[in-house]
Amino acid sequence: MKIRASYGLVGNDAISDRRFFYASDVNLDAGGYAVFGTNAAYAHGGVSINNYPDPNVTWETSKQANIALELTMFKNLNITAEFYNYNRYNILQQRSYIPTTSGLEAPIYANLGKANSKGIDLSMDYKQNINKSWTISGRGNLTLATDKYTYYEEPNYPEAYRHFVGQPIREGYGLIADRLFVDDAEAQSSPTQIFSAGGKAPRGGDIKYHDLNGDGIIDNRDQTFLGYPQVPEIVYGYGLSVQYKNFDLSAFFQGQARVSFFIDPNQVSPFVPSQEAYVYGNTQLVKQFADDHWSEGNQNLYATYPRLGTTRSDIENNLQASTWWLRDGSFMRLKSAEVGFSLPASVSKALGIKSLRVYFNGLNLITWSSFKLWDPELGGNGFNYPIQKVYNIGVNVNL
Amino acid sequence: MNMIMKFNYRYFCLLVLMLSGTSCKKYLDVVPPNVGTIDYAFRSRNEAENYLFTCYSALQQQLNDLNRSPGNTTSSEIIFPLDLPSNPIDITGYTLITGTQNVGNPGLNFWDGSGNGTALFQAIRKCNTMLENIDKPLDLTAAEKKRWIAETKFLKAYYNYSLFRLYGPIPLIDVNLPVEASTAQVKYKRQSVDEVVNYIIALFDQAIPDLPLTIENPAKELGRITKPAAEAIKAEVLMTAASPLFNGNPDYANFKDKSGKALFPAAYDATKWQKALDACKTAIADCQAAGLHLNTNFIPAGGVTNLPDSLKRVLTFQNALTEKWDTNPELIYALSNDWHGQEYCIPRLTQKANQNEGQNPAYFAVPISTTELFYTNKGVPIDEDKTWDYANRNQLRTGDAANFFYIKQGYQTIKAHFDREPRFYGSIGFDGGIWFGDGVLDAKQARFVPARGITAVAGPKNPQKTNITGYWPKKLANYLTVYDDGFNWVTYSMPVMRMGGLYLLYAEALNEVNGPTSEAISYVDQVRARAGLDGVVSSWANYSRTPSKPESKEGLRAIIHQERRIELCFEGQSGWDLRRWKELQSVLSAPLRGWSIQEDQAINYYRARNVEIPVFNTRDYLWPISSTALVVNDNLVQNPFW
Repeated sequence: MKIRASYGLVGNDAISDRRFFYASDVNLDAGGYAVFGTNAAYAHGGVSINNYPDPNVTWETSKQANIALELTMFKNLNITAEFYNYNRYNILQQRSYIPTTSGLEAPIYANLGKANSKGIDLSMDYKQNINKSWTISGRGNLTLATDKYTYYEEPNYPEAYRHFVGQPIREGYGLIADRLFVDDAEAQSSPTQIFSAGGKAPRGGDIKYHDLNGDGIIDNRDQTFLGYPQVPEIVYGYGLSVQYKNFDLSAFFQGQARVSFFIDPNQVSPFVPSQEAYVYGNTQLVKQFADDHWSEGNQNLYATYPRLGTTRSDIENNLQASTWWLRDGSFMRLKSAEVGFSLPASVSKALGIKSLRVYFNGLNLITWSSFKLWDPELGGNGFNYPIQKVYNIGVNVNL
Repeated sequence: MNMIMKFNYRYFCLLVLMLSGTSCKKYLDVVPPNVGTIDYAFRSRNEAENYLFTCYSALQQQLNDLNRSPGNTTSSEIIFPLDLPSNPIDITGYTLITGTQNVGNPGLNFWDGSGNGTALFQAIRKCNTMLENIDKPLDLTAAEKKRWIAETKFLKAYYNYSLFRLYGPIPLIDVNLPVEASTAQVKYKRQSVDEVVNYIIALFDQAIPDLPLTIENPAKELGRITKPAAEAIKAEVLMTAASPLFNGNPDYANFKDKSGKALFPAAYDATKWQKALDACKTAIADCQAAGLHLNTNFIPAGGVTNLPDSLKRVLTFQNALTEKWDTNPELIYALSNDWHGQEYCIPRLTQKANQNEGQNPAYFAVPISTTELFYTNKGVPIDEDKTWDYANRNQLRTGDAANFFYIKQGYQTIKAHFDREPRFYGSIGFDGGIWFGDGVLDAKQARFVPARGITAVAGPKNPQKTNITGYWPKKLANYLTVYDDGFNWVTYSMPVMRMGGLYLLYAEALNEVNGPTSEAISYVDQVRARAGLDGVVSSWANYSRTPSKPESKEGLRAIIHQERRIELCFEGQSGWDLRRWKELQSVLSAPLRGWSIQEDQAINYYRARNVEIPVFNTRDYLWPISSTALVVNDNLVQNPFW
């Protein structure tokens, strides 16, 4: 048995894409031009500020504490368990209290945020030769990780559910969808749901959102934290192999749990101009949307896809981040499996080779998930390049 | 061999030591390339001039752009089709009229600078930066510095005024806070209407003495602010403050901030009109001293033939707007960048124009209500004229020889298009109307607008590029601009203030202070005379069903308001005027209508249909502050009813 522990400070200077973040950055020939003179003959490009100087900006720091336990039990079982607790501080963050009346041309950042992450890494392996014919081995790993903001500068929202402090760092944020509107009349008599000044009012078959603060208007004040974080809190993998005489069999499973993701309606809504640069024309149609969408003929208030539209502005109501598109991202996958047969040494010797093994294996064979539209590992865009199933048959010869 | 190696190695060590003493430090002391500080912008006169232009930018490039000025987009003078498959411009401003304004994401949000609005507080900060640093350039002469300070103060006043007429009470930021100012410092409160107006006027009064009477070097400086221009805009500020929206408006009487301070004046104050009157008078005197007057002198371009007086009157009126600024004595202040948008106003009058319809979308559609504002040729409103058949105005009538230069002879149109004042023919393009210019300079051969149905050249061809009412804002098109085989623009500058408008402001103030005097009427009559109309008193006495209307203060007020709406139509003014008069709600209480543009038979075409249903409530007189701005600064209060 072995116990190890460590404590330290770790700095991170990759906090911005701007190299000289502390320095003033003024563009002396662009931004706010004006034109004067007869025939608009005399012009200047104007001056704009890209960054205000901030001599106090610094890197973020993490206080990291680890304690790990390594032990061997029953001779064949090795277990490593590691607990960690990181307290990050000086996280660079945009100052949120500066009103637009200050007239600043660039946002102000400061080392403000604080976050805590803690978790456990567990791994174990086990191997035993039961007798001359049988060998089995197994291995597994498990990571539990949680994090949250312990300080986050934000305006003093009157709605408690909008506050970031105490929330996981990568928590989804959006509206709560109740169901679809029954008809245009219901959409009109419900709280206003217009998401841009030129936006269109929703119609029957559009998503009806929950008016969290009860002010009769659905807007950013009704958004809150939704589901599990967008990165899994639990990641695991385990495998087993068995050998019986000349036959061998192994399998490896992996999975994740306590994770959510949003289907990205901007990417997958059919019949609207695609956002992908390489797709000319409209987005393709996912079969499940074709089979179950709201229409005059299928007024299902919980249809997979709401009312179809032909322009983005037409379906703007349904493109908002909301629980309508929130899905459970947990899955377990048979990542790989292999069966093999090795020629007995006596036979291979007779053939004049050292060894020969015939095998059959496959990758990504089975996935168990509550999300059925596409592989949950693709995330919100079902048109991402898919995870492939791979089958191999092989012969391994050593001369 | 070994010896040499050792020898080299020793030198190498020395070299490393030497280098590490110097160049390592250099490596860390890199001065970032292309990174300046705001001081760089004031190193010399030329750099500072660049910054002065930046201060002008919001005024010139954004605030007065017709597509985002609430003075135009929310007035219903022009409507823009809101259901195009794709929009050539940001149409947020035009959608507001249908009631899409909201607090979550306000349209034309000039407070935060979103929803196609400009961040006006940024513009104010730039003006303050200019004033803070103006002493730095060593090669700036004292005279020029004085003028630049005055210009910057004018701009600061103008941006505060722009916020004031949208939001009413606003925070006044006279000096920039440092970037690292504390939370408590940056949470400005809104100041009351009277404090805001007094502050703006104080800035004008500081600026005006140091501004030039005229621009001495127009080749480079036309478009910079002058003394008469600042006087005229100051007069407009005082007119706004004296008007019913801000002067004792009962709707806002109880509007207070969080400390209980009243943000609107509780009672009507008649002396505000007196201040406005004085300011108009000074402005007119200064404009006249600078050689400005109503532009009544139209000189036809070379090639124009057979121009009758009737058409010349139309062109004289258009010319007050579309003549080049440097020769146009009408313009007190305009935007020296060319106005772009004539292609939205000109119907397609030839087959070639239709082949190039992409360049000539002609979106700007004028609702019937706007066309009915214009007087009859007797100079009185169409529903007051005893000699004009108001009830049957939408019945068919065929163009005849007497109206040869206004309506296509032999073409069937409606009675409403006959016997109207020259400004009607100068402002509105209509089915069967003569469109002089557009490449044809012989008046007898002038083109006309056949607009009925898909087969007519000016008719609706492409759903994406259609005038949805059947009326075009002809006034915004220079008659020399040609749209046929390609587009030849003859550009002009969009006025911010012109003499006709200032005269009508003065007449309005005179009437409010002294009642219907002959002095007030004389300024209206000067504007009418250019349009070929008789004076107010004789026109009403001879032709109106209410001949005594000009004799009462209320009657003359209505006459002046309509005169202003006619004279300045499509110039982005009436949206502001109707707000300050508190008349916009009644103007927007009826559906906006147009003709049945797809029909090719006159009898079917002239059936009015609803094109847009405006939504306007009391709360819409002032803009909402975004909910985000209210959360970030909890010292702010939302405008009433939002």
